[in-house]
Order: sequence, then structure tokens, then C-alpha cells
Amino acid sequence: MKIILILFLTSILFVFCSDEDLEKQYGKPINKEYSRKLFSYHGLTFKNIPAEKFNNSIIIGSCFYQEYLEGEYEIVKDIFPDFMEGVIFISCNLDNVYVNEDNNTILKETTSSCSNKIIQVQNDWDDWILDENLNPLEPINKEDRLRAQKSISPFDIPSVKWTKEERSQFEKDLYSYNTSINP
Amino acid sequence: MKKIYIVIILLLIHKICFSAISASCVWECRATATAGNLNGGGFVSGGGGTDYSLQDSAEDNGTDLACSDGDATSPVVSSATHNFVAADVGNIIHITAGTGWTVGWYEIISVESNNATLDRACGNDGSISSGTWYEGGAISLASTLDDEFFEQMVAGQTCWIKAGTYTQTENVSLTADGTSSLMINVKGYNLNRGDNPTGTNRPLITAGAYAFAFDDYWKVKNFRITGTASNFTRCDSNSKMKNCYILNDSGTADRYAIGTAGGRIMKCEVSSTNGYAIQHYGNTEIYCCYIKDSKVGIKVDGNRAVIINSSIDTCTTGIDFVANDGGIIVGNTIYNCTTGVSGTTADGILFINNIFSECTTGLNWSNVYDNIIFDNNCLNNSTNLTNVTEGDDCVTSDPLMNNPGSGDFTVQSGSPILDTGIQIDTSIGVTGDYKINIGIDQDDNTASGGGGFGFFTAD
Repeated sequence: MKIILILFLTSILFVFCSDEDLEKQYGKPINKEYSRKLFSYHGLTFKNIPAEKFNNSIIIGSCFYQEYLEGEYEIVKDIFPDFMEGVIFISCNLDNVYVNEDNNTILKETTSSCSNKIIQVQNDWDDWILDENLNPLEPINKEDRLRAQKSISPFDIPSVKWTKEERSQFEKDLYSYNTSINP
Repeated sequence: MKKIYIVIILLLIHKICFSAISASCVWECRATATAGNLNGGGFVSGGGGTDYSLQDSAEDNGTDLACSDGDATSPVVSSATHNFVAADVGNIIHITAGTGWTVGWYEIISVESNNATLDRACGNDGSISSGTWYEGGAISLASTLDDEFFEQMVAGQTCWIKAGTYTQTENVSLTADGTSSLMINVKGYNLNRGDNPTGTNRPLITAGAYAFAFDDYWKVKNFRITGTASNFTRCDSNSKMKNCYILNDSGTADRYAIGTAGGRIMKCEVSSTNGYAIQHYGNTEIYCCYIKDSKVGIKVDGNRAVIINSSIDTCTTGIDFVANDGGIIVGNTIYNCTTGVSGTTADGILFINNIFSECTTGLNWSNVYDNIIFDNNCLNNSTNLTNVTEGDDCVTSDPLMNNPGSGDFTVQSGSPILDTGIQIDTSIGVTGDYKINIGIDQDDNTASGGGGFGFFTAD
């Protein structure tokens, strides 16, 4: 019971934190070079950057997303230095990015989680979230599809890639439901 | 007995319809605010309170919020660790957790005896306690509550977003609408609200694979937004997007940067590396935009395209009329595209005062339509027109732009397009000498040239 209480209080402490408070709480500095920045360039890698540039720091609010392109071998990219350790990511977009959580690196917090989904474009030309076995779970634009009464079931993903015309009509249907002006 | 029922129903309707945060609420977002969109983030002035939204952290917070009747129309809440006082009035309180509580943002309408009255029901019927709450402090964005935050905004409200980088971790695809009399405003600023930043002084939304899309009657201005989503940003019916840089740099083909039906896109820089910079679904107006480096600059797949005083630069196709009934294309400069404008069955389009320069083909239509009006345009391409008939007063020589390859579409003093645009003159009864150039440059750079204003001037 005491442990639960301590965990609860710890989570409260965490969520009510400015940058300075976060640094005090974790005993690590905010990594200003890699926080609140855009690193979502296709093919970007930090492999040639010394791990020390990252180690034992807090990285907050950066976008590291790596888009998967058709024909690429790997969906999830390993972009960080091999021996990076002790990094705490907060509110980062790490979709399609591999983070080694064994090296004291914390990826997800209770209330301020990062996004670390596996995302791949499917035959309907939309991006889908995949499970760990790389099977499609649901489309990223799930809410738009539901409003337009379009399927969000992975079983309805076409077995053959839609033609440009089929995709164009689908997109138009999605859009017409999103606005009061009917295209 | 029936009368009693009617009164009860009317009371219930009142409770449902007339309880909300005030339309005059002003929200504040800062990248440096407490992570997770936990703070209150807003303030309604006029009640005598102190605005606590202009700071990174909440002014007060706790896990002890209590209420004697959660579903009351105007519930009264209290905290054992904080006495609510007059300075709290108008601030927004964010209730984030607690059994029986309805999480959300609430306005403190008034305070009395160290208790606060909220704008609407905040939980279950009867007594509720141990609510987690935050009052004041800016919204951080970069949270799984981003969609919920924007979705709860109502007509008339304004959200200021301070310069910084905001990383999305979920889709923001809104259904909330403003109204014709009270639109919803989202405005970027650099150092002070209203300073209308440009370039990299504008807030940057890094969307990743997610959409950042608004619905009807929104005004969105002063942002940079980058991402790769298939349905990326939207400027919907009666909405305005101004002074924004929008880039969809997806490696997947045919994704758009801005999708629009009934929107007004003004003074924006737009690109979609492998797709459509602007996907027009109908009744859209595009003014003074710089559309470039895209597979298609503007894909017109709906009625009434209005494209005025814009530059379309280095696209495979500048404007692609997939389907259209009517359109007004006036005063644009279309440069260095494989095909400047293409069309299949689209007809009834008016082209006047446009430059088509250094394209492989200026205009290419599949069929010939006599109701495509093509007057006072400048043509300087390998092939100027295919299945489009040149109309009156066109110029078929080099417009002599200063350095179009570097984005400088101004014309030299000896340019043949000076004062050759269709314009009001003495032949229709007015007096005076009116001068309008063809293309986007209306600079009065010769004794006989330009009138100093274009067909449209965006401020």
C-alpha cells in the first residue's frame, strides 16, 4: 500500500514540473541541443554523433519521426548512437524510431508519454499503426474515417494497392464529411 | 402536470445548451509550459481576476478538489489546500482526474467564502472529492490531449501560441466549428501577442505522421507546420489561413499540404514535395500565396477556384483542373513548371493578367472549350498553348523578370508586361490613367509602368 502511495505521489510530482523542476526531479539537465527541435528528416541518423552528447540528459518535445517509404527494408529505424544511455524522453515523437530502453533510457512516462508507434503506409495509401508483429491495427486518421463511415478494420485494407483514382475518390469522401461545403 | 414536465425539460435544455466557457476566453500555449497539457491555460477578462495563463506552471494545483453536487448547473468547488479568492475569477481550471469528476477545462465564474463556482456541471450527481486540478499556467501542446484541447474551444475564443517548437504525438483533426459571427482564432506570436511574426519567428508545429486540421469558421495565422500525413492540414468552409508556411515532405506520392473546401488561403508559402501543395475541393479562394516545389501546385477537384496574385514555381503541374465548373485565375505568375496549367473537362474558366513563363507547356487542355476566356496574359514557354485559344491583348515575349530562379518575380524596367493588364480606363467613361501589370509584380518601375497596386493586395 505504501509503495502505491509513493508511486502516486511521485506521479503527481512529475506532472507538475517546469524545466527546472524536471532537472531537479531526475538529477539530469535538459538537453538543449536536442530538445524542442525538428529532427524528422528522412534518413537522418545520429550514429556518427558521440553518445556523450545525449547521455544522462532529458530530451523534451522533439520530433524524431522517421517516415517509412515503400521498398525500404526496415520500418523502425535505429538512429541514436549505439551506446546512448540514461536519456529520458518527454513529449517526443519517436514514431518508427528504435529506443534501447535497457540502457536506463526512459521512453514513456505516466502522464507525459512520447509517441513511439510503428507506422506504415498500406495499400489504401493511408498510414496505419502496426502491432509489434508488424500487422496493421488501425489507421492514423481513424476519427476522420469513422465520421465518414469508412472502415477502420485492417481486414478491409485492399490486397492490391488502390489506383490513383480510387484513392482520390476515397479522400474526397473523407473530406466531404469533414466540411459543411460538399465538394 | 404537463406544465411541470415542460418546465423540467426547459430547465434541462438550459443546462445542456447554455453552460460553457465564455466565448471571450483567451488561451495561451507555450512550448516551455508544464508538459502534458495539464495547466488551465485560459483566462476570461472582465471579472476582476488576475490572468494566470501567461506563465509556464500552474498558479495553484492539487488533488483535493471537492464539490457538493457535481452535476449542478453551476457547481461550487473547494480545495483544502487553496482558498479561492477574487484573483482566481476568470481563470480556467483543468480537472484532470478523480472518481466521479468529468475531466476537462472549466471557467471560474465567481468566488465566495473561498469556494469557486464553475461554468458548468463537472461530475456526477451528489458529493465528489479528490479531484486533481490545475489553475492557470499555459498549455504545452505536444500531448495526447492536443485534440481534446482544440476540440473544446468554442466560437469566439482565441488561442495564442508563442514561438517555439510543438511536437505532435497524436492526430489533431477537429470537428468544432466557429460561426459566421464568432469565428475561432488560433494565432502565432513571437515575443508579444499581436506582433505577427514572419519566417522562423513563427511557432513551428512538427506534426510527424499526424494531421493538424481545423474545421469550419476558424482563423489560423502565423505558423510553420511540417509533416507527412495523407490528410495533413485543412482550411475548411469560411475559414482563413494566413501567413503560414505549410510543408508536406512525405516520400509517399499524392499527399496534400493543405486540403480546402470553402476556405481562404492568404499569403501562405505551401509545398508538398511529392503531392499537391493545395488540394482544392471547391469554393476556395487563394490570395497572394507562394506555391512551389511540388508535384502539383494546386489540384482543382471542385467548383469555383479563385486564384489571385499568387506565384506558382517549379511544380510538375502548376494548376491541375481535374474537375471544375468555372474559376477565376487572375494576376498570377506561373514559372518553371513542366505544365503551367492543365485541364481535361474543366470549362468556363477566366484567365486574365497572368504570366506563364519558362514552362515546357504553358496551358494544356484535353478538349477545346470556347468559354475558357484567356485575355491579357503573358506567354513565354517552349509551347504556349495546347487546345486553349489565345484571347485578346496577350503578350508573347519574355516578361523580363529579375531573378525568378531565386524567387524574385519582379520585372525589369523594360518589361513588356508593364501596364498591359486588363484595366479600367477612359474608354469606359472614367477619367485618369490607371495602370495594372500582368503578373504579380505591380511595381511602378518605369514612367509608363505599374499602378502601385494589384488586383488584390493582402495586408
